[in-house]
Amino acid sequence: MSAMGSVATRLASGRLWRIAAAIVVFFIAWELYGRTGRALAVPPFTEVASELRAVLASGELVGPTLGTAAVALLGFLIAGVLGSVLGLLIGLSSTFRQVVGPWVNAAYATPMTMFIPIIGMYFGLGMGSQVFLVVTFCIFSVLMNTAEGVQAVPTQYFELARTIGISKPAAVLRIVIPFALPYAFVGLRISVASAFAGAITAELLLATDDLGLMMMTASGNFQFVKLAALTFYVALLGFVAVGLVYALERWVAGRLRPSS
Amino acid sequence: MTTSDASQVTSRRVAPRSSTRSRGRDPSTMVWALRIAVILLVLAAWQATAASVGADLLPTVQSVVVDGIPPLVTEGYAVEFGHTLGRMMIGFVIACTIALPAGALMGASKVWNDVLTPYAYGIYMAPRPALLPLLILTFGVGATFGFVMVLLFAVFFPLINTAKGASEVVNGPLYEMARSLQISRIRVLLFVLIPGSLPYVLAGIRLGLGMAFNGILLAELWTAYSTGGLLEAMVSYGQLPEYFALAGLIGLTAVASYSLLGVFERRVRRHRGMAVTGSFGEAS
Amino acid sequence: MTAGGQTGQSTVQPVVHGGSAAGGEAQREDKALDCVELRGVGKTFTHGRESRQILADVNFTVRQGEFCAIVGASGCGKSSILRVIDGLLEPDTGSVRVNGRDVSGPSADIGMVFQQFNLLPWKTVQENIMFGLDSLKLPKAVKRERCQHWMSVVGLAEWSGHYPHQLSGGMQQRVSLARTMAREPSVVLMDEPFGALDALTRRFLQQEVVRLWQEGERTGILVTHDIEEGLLLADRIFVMSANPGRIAATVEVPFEHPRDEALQATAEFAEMKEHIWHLLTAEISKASSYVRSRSGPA
Repeated sequence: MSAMGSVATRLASGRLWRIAAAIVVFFIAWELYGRTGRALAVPPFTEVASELRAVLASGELVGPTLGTAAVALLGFLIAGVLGSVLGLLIGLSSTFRQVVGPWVNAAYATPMTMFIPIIGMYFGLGMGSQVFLVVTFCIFSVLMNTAEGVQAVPTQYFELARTIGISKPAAVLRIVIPFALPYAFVGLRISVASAFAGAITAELLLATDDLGLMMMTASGNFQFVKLAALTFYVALLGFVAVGLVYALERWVAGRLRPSS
Repeated sequence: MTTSDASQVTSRRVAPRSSTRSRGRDPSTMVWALRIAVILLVLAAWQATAASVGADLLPTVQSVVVDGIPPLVTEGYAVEFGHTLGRMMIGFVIACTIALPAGALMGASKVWNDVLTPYAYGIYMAPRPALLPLLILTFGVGATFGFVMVLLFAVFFPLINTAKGASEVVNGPLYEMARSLQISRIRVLLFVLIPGSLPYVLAGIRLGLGMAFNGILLAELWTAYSTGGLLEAMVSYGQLPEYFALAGLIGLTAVASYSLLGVFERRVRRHRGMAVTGSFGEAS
Repeated sequence: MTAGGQTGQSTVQPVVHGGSAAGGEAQREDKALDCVELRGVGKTFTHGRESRQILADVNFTVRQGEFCAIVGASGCGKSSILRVIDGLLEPDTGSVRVNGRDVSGPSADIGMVFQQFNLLPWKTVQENIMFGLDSLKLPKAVKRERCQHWMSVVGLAEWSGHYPHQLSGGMQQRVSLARTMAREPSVVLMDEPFGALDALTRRFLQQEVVRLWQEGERTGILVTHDIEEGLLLADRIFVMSANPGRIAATVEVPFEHPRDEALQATAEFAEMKEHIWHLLTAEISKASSYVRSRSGPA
């Protein structure tokens, strides 16, 4: 309902038209640049689209897509659980925050990609190392956003809880968590894109598999149109994944605060 | 005139701040002791693991220090990383040169915001590493490939943060005030828009720089070029002390630049009496 | 407030014009002295598919040197009136004239003091006041002199190098006032300038504003939801109704300056206050019945 309303409003104010126009311009530019034949890796969009249709029809994408999605999802879930629990702890306990916080900050600022060679060595060239890489890609945005959400709970709420005699655990459950949930969801939404990027990175650089393997094979066989089609497909999957979490976020937010 | 009324003077510096809990006292000695205890604990765990799994899997701490650090200089690994950093900075400067004006445009104009938003979020939501096989066909192995990866990785945060900062200023009360005072467009840009969005821009640069490190390393691992190539070779040939020393150097550089930008950002915010948020666990 | 107030003030009965003020004022002859003139001003905001009429047929005239207050409930459009006069907001219908000229945008003739001070946090007190003089074509020395003058007028000369966040709310609003006054506009608009201040500071600043108006020939329009503030500062009060915003009544304030605590304790003051209160609440209840009638089946 509200989504429909906002779409209608945006349509009325011309927003949607401008956004659509910007997207169309991108594809036209792609098509025109591809037609010049200047870049091997950039075939015209129409060619890429029909190739993608053919690949989709052949069914060869189903298995790899599920495989990549499984890696991304598993890593995302582990990072989501670990990140929100750690974030809750860091947000709640000022001692914990002061002691562990700087190291978490440092870990966040460390480029995780440099560990790719060693992760492969430790976790083997299989799903274990892939999932581990995804977790390192995702965990910090969940953790930091959750901690920020917990810290954003106004003191008055705790005073209120004490005044009306709610125990500390109950206050965490009934005040802190609902308050911090929108923040945690922002972190989840950010990290879902990272989860997908992590899964693809792992399949290209760690253990070549699934969609990563298909892309490498296409590249190795000089099937550049197919490679472009697969790349485009992976990008689309990223959009779908972010869109799904965004929809989930709106749904949860709607349940928590029916008025907003 | 004038009434030097006491209430005014005494109430100075007590302007109401955010109503959230006051955190951010100076960390006590106790906290510092605990922080150091954490790192000692990690090192002890490292040492114990190294002792049990053997040097082929994990070198001991002293081995990293003794066997790993000298080659950074003697074998020129540090210099190689310096080259990588230089390429990364070129890519990052290109990214910021695009991101800051484009972000300002997005923040200041609804039309441009609508036009550029799909591109900004497109770059962000699409798994950028998936472009590795395609980009290498276009740009080949080498420096340009690195620039492009850094650009793709790093452009989003400065862009979107600048857009947010600019939009807060343009839709905020200061902009209306400047209009009321008939300040010229150029001067509004110089004295209201740019300083007003500065804290956001700085945060964007800080986050973008972190992404730039990831971008350049990914590009170089993919092409086995420069520092990325070294990291990969070190693991393949079992030179683990060298690997951990080099990784440590990279990590330190990234953390140091991130922290320095963070310090600068907090200084700007505090100078304006803004709430200092973001990184936790630091003195206030 | 002193408990045993004495009556030293004239006991003029409130003069009230009902409805739009245009009728009563058309009779006045000295048109040359009219400084701010609104005729049939209307404004509707459109947000998506919803639109809301903020102002409908607003008419009033403020004479030169007069200090008027616009009193109304929050959301009645009183701030929008100021923005229309300042040229920040373009009305859909009607005309706004200041000093006989149609308003087409912000000008040096008109100054605005905002509720939230709106000081640039990255500029010092002095720089903020100089920033206000930026658009005036004056020699630098004159600007500097004016800045110095106004800083001392508002009592902030020794704070010139401080940043806004180092000052209390009251001091920040003085800077904001100085920034506007240093431009020497003939009309000063004030949008709830004391709304963000504590009661004591508010009282001090109100007295300062009165003093400024007694010192020089200035026209002022104050927007407030505080009836007492209107009575303490203004020569005339426009009572606004909401949904859509109109001038519902005009009340002449008969008290002489200085209007102090003693005046506030008089029966006349209380009577005026209650009178305006009744006008306002009548409008509010009308407005809420309007809302009720609107919130039927859509």
